[in-house]
Amino acid sequence: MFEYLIIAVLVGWSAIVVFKKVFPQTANAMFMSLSNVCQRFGWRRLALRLKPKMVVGCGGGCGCASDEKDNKKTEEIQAVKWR
Amino acid sequence: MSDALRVALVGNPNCGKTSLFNHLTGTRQKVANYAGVTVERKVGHFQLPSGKNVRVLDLPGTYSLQATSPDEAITRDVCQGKIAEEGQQDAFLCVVDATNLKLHLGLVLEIIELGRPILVVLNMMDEARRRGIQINTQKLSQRLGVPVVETVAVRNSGIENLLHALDQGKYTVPQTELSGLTGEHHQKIETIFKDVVNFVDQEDKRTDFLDKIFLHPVLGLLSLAVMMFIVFQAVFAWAAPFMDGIETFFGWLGETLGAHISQPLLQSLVVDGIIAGAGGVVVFLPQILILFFFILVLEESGYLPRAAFLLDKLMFKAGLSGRAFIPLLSSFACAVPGIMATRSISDPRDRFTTIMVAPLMTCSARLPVYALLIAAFIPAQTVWGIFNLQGLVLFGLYMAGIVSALCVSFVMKFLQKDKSQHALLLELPSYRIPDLKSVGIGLLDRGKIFLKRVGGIIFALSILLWFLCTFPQAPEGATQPAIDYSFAGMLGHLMQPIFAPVGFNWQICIALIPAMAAREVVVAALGTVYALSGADDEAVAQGLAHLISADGTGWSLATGLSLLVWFVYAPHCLATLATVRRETGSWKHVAVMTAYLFGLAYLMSFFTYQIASRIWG
Repeated sequence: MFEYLIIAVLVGWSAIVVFKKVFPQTANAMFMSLSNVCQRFGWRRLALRLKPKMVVGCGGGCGCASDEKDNKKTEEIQAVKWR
Repeated sequence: MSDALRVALVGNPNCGKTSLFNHLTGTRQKVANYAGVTVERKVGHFQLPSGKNVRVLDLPGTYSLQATSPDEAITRDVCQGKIAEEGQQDAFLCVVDATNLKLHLGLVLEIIELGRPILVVLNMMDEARRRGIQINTQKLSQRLGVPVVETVAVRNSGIENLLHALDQGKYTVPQTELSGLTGEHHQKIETIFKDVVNFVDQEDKRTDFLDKIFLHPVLGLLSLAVMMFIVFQAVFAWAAPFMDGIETFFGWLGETLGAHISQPLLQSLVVDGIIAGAGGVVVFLPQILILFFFILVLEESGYLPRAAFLLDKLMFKAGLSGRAFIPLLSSFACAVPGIMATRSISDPRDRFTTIMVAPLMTCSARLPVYALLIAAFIPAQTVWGIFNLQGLVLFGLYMAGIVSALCVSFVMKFLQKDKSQHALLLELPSYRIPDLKSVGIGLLDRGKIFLKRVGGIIFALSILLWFLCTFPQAPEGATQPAIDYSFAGMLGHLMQPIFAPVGFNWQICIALIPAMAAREVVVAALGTVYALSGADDEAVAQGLAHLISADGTGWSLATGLSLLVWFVYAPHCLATLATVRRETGSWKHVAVMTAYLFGLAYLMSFFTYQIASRIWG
């Protein structure tokens, strides 16, 4: 029984990934409305997780940047240590 | 971020805007040593030494604000404040190529006339010094009435000065009336140029010497052919030991994991579904990296626009604009950025033709498919003493895509009513020694993209396909392999009669469906289907290439060649079709493209299969 549960979870996850990649606009619209429903019920964290992220170009599949996020890691000032 | 300083990078094509953008923001947007790489605005963020946030906009290059193509129109609209969300730029960073100041000053003057705050970034100063071009930056600043900062974006030099200039608010509204400039643009440029530039030695001897070879009508074409040949030979010859290593690793992984999983269904999912599927695609990583190593080196060197110049005559005769070369070249990596790069083509007819033929260029997703089929059906032997036969076939497949694109555009030229002709105007950049660090970063990025696809869409599709190949399970007392009773088996048998004339068996038919999401999925799908088709473990461990070419149970040579030809033409990429819809704004064009490409794929595969089966049986 346990193996069927693992398989069901993996197959379900795969179906969502493929759906998002193959039909990005429909998937975006669907996840956006799901996110709105969750927001209305007060499930904010779930709503935030479901809300689709904005992507540009091919969605990063071909190497172009897919979002407007700053990739630069800000260097933290390290405390001086006696060596 | 709302109180962030908003700046926009503007300048002529290939002046180093995107290199500067990458250094400022820490991103890795594509850069190359030719014009027209950036075709849409890109936004990034960075911090000034004072801690102030900056929002920077990278705009497509343009020679003038009189836009002639869709990408130039974006820059014009942002500069003129016509795009609502980009209307409030605090400063324009006008990037200028120091080696080509006379040409680039035209756009600077146009932007100055807009009366917006501006800071001139004098880029490529190292190259200017190498060529003996001395520029008096202070005098240039006085003449233009705006501050000027020197940089070498590709080497990260001068960036600190630029950051400090931004921090100190050294971007000013131009004071042209104070600089004493009068007359038309070209007169002003002449005055400024004479005043601020001093040539010690005007010639770029390296570029002149190399151009004598690479732009020569005979030597140029010969060197282009030799270069392409070396690339495809290397793809097979250099990659083999690494591919063997990866294949052995996945064989070991399958055996080890399989031995530790006692549940038969889970074991089948991990070994037959995931490792045979997604793992089978990772094997082709070395070939992709070798191919991109050469492409990146050629991009960085500045050779590629020369190839465009050499092939212009041929492309012109076939009905393609010379400006189509760069978009078509981009399509060798992926058709999506290639189709987007057609925005640099000003003529709508030329742009449409380029979009329609771009999917015929051999994208990197085809490489695993070609490599698998070539390894399975073409013997690894040497011909004419020096050439690797497998490399020759790969070269032939790439050429088949190029020749087909020329033929299709030739037909489109006849069908179109507008017969006007456009000459090619192309700026040839100076040759540069490729920066090993940039090539390394580019290769790392390509590797990451490939592995991300394997870990994402290919991994997910392998699991889905395993599910469709496993359920419903075979009834008790079944005589056929279990896969025959599954959803995928039933679908494959249903489709097989349609593809029988081109020699495809039901296993190939199944694999073609998930391959619509991405071409290389066909390799993963075949791996899963054959692993579940009752093939013995020893055969599976030897790899997919052995399975499909095995005597008796494998395919005929005619089927292998037919599938190779199918993938030259078939539009197995939904992302490409979606991009065509976005760029043309019409589903009709998408339908026409899909129909003609599938039609060509079927027709060419049919002829290949029929001819090959008559010759080799």
